[in-house]
Amino acid sequence: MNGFSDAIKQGFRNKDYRHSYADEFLNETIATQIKTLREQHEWRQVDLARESGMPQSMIARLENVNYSSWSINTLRKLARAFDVRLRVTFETFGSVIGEFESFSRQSLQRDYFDIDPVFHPHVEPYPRLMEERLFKTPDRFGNIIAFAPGQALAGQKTQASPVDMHLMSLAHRTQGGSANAALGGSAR
Amino acid sequence: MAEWMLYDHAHRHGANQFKAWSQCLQKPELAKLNVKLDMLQKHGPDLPPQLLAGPIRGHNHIYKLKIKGHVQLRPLLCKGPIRNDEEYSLLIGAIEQGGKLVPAGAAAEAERRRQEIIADPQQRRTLHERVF
Repeated sequence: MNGFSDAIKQGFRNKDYRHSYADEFLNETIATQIKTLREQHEWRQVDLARESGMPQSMIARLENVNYSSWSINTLRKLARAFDVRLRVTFETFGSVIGEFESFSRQSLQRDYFDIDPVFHPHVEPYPRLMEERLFKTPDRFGNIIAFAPGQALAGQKTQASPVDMHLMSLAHRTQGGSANAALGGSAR
Repeated sequence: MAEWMLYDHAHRHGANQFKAWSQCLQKPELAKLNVKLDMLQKHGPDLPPQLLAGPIRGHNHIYKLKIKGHVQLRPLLCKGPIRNDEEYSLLIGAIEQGGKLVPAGAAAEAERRRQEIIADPQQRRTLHERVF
């Protein structure tokens, strides 16, 4: 038992307190996850605005923990843009403690469909921590074993990200092969 | 990841006015305040976007938390001021009306209290006392 969970439990004995705490925590979670997913895709706010069909100013509001006027319909649009599903459930108040304890950038990231291991078991999960990403290298056969978020699998990529550039430089050093081959040969 | 330390400013005679201010809040406002403080303590300023608002114009070290409700609570705080990457100090409780802080001069008072902590951190601050 730690200080946070004890403090949360004590406050939650009051009904008004626990409902307000949960509402505020939900606002914080939604804003933080939207920003986290956008950064996972290496998108700017304008990119997410374009993908979701909403103005950039709306994206900025949604990424503010002090904003509470989001709607399910808005979140559906974002889910489609991120190519993940939206899940809405009713939960016990006890679950707040676990959610608070596990709240982190990593726990809020989601594999979008193209790298969802259920549908693409041959694709190595995208490394979620920056340090893991930077030390990933292509395998010796030139197969894709890591790629930047937002990068299409089938040759739709248009611009190398800093991660790509790093992978390509590593590929040159380790294989002496071409950078395109290192990234699967089909990029661009 | 290490948690951040939260402190409350303490008056010369030891009174914790931030705690006293918190004790006057309604339960819904208090809960919202505690979520913000819990997030601040666990994650600092980096993860939840725009958790800290500011710095307040004319007071480069003073920030505010925004708590929405029937009353717009704006507790004022600063990073550090002793270890700026490890701690926050809650300085004064305030509200916002018509785009202005109430009481008037709250930001200046917050800066004055910050200086008091810098001058005597042992006596002029105490570990944050959570109010339920």
